[in-house]
Amino acid sequence: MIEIANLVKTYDGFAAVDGLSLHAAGGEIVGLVGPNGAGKTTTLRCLAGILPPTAGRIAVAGHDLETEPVAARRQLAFVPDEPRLFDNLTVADHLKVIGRLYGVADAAERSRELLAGFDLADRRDAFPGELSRGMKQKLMIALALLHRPAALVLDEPLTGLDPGAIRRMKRTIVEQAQAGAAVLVSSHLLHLVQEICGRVVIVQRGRKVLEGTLAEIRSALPDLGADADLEEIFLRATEGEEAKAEGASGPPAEPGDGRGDG
Amino acid sequence: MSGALFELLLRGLRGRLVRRLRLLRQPKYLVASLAGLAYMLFFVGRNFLIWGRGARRPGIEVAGLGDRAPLVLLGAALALALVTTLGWLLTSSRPALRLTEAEINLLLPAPLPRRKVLEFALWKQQVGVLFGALLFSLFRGFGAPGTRLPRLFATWALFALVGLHLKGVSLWKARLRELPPAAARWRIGLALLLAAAWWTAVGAGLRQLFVATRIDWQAGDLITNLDRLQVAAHAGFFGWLLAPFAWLCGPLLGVHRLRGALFAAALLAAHYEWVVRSRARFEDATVAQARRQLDRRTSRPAFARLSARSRQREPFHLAPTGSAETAVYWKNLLLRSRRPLAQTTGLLVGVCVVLGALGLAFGAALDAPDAFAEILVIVGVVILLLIPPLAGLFLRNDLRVDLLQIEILRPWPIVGWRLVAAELLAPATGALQMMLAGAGLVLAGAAAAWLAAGGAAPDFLQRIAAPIGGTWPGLLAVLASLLVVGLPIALLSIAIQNLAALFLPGWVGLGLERQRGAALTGQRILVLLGHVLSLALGLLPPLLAVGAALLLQRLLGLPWSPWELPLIALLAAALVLAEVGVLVRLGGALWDRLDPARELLETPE
Repeated sequence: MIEIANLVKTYDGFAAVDGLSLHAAGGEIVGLVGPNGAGKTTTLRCLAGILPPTAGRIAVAGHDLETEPVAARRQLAFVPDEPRLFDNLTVADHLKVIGRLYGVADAAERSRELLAGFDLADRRDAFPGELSRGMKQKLMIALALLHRPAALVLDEPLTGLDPGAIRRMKRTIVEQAQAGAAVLVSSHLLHLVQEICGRVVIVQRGRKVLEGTLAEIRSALPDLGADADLEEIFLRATEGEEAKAEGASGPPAEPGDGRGDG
Repeated sequence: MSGALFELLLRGLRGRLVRRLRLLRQPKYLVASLAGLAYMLFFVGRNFLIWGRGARRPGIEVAGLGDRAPLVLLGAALALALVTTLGWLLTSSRPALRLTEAEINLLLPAPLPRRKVLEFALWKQQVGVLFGALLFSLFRGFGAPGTRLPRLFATWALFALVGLHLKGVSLWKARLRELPPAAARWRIGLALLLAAAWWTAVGAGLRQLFVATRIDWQAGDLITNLDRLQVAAHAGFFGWLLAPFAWLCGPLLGVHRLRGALFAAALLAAHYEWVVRSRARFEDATVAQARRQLDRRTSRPAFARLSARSRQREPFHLAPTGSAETAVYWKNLLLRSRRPLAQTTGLLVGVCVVLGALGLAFGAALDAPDAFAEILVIVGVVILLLIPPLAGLFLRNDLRVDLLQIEILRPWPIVGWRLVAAELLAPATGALQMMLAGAGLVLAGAAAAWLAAGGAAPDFLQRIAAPIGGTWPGLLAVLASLLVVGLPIALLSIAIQNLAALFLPGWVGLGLERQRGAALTGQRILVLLGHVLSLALGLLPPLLAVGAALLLQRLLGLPWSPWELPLIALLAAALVLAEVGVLVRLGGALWDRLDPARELLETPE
């Protein structure tokens, strides 16, 4: 459902993403992790069609993002790390616009379900300025789910949510995958990634360092214990890469857009 | 201002400059910069640069105005006095310093006296004010070599003084809210008394002037009357009252140079002290303004105060399925108003009917049947003529707002050129509503005059519709022609601004409202210049086509028919629409290629 092949994104000669390839099949939840400046957010923003890639191919549900952008975007939903909403549109207005853009015939009924599910039913007529950050995040997720996307891309989806909402969010992600969607999640909350993701991709300096299920990764790092969790694996993998990169020059963080950390 | 704040100011300016210079790495910004520079050098700045040969364009000198000079100076002084008074009436009582969120977080908690913070905010504005004054001077003519610097100083001083004065008034009003009610009432009373006394004196002076010169405007010779009027005005009480304002305007017109410069410098110093010594609280409003800037607010504050019922209103019903472009149009209409489109149209018709009835009533009461009606018609015609070319400058509920929300829009499943086309529709609807209001005013005025005249066509109606017979059908044909050609021109005007925002987003001020303040005068002049040039270029082919059609008709010896006017309008409209189509396609390609990571997508500070 999500195919990224040899993705390159450069900013004034600096490669924020450098030949990254990954895929997520329908029904699969893939975790994208990496230290700050690793290129996670840039990768997701390229996948969402926000940033044009410098090189490489991105496909969503079999549609190439370059040659069939509309068909590809119709199958995709993207939840950015910062909830970005139209200040002059109410919660209900947002759902109406997105419903029409994606041609959701039962938008009214589905909007009611989603608002109830995310505890926003009594905030239908509120403007974003009247919502807390967590509520805005919930609305972003509701908007993403409105058109039943085949591919769901989430950048730090739990930021700003209260414990109850975090639990519901995790359940929602799993339900989307169970319904057949390919889910790609980027997060620094490694326990979340370990808990819900079937496969993990660790990136650093714009390149893939490790990929596989937790068991596969553990076997690739035999000096780690069989019960090593993702945090240990992550630190080991990225520290190892740091050591390799010692002496190599290059900007420490991803420049250009100043948004996101990855 | 302390050394640290001066350092912050300098480094901030350098940072802004560097960020913009970095854009020049992209060829499009480099080419646009060179083109702009070349234009400024060859068409605007050559008189300024050729020092030895002197200026060819002296600008508006009082001497060049001949015998009317003193009267022009007093007129300018009176206008400045009026602007100052309006400033006192309209300035907000919530003074906000133009500080960014970062500056607020760093400076307000820092161990700095409030005077220093105020000074920092004031000095920060002066670079923009100076740039605006420079451009203003360049465009209106710098005058002879010896007068260039004084004139630039005079322009800057006037801009800076207006800014400082309004800031001072705002702080003064804010201080009133903090004082005990009795003290506040006393100060307000004193201010009102002074203003009333001054304007009464000016009114009395004017009356005395007219009586003294015994001008009979109906019968007398205009030139003779003006001569007598200005001699009396300059020498009398009236001239004395307006003298301080005249000294400020004088250097701009080439007189009172030394006196004006000294007076402006003294006033600037006094205003500066008035503002930085203010004890009024500015923090809340400053934080609120910075927050709005940070959040890139696109909505009017009034939205937040809407009732629950109003929040459910929409311009039209948006069905869940259908073209995606309609959703973009619907969303952009909401940027301006939640009122249903049909209701807005009904409201416009109602206002026009009421104004027409008032025209009829006033005409009858004043025994001047055409007077009020003619004003309605003139206002309507002015609206019809001005809205189309200027629509792109002030109706901004389009890509100039949505580029700030590119993170939301970019993943939408809609082709670039169709998105750009949809973005033009909401401001074009606003322009159409205004043009319809203009046409409505013309009809209301004409109907009132016609009724007052007992069914006969009034004189002015015959004048307006003269090209096609001076009749009611003729008037309707003129209005229809203006609407037919006006809407495409408005679309072209809006498309030009959107294309500029897509092509050079780092240079175009984004957001719903145009930024205000003297510091942005320079930017506004450049935007207006670019807009006028582009629009003139765009209107050239339709004008040539219309000219060619009329020439062909003449060559063929075909007789002129009044009903050609709508057909000519249709020909011009078709060509303008074709140009809009090309711009939309071009805009779509730019949207598809736009890399937000390489642009500065932000509202100007």
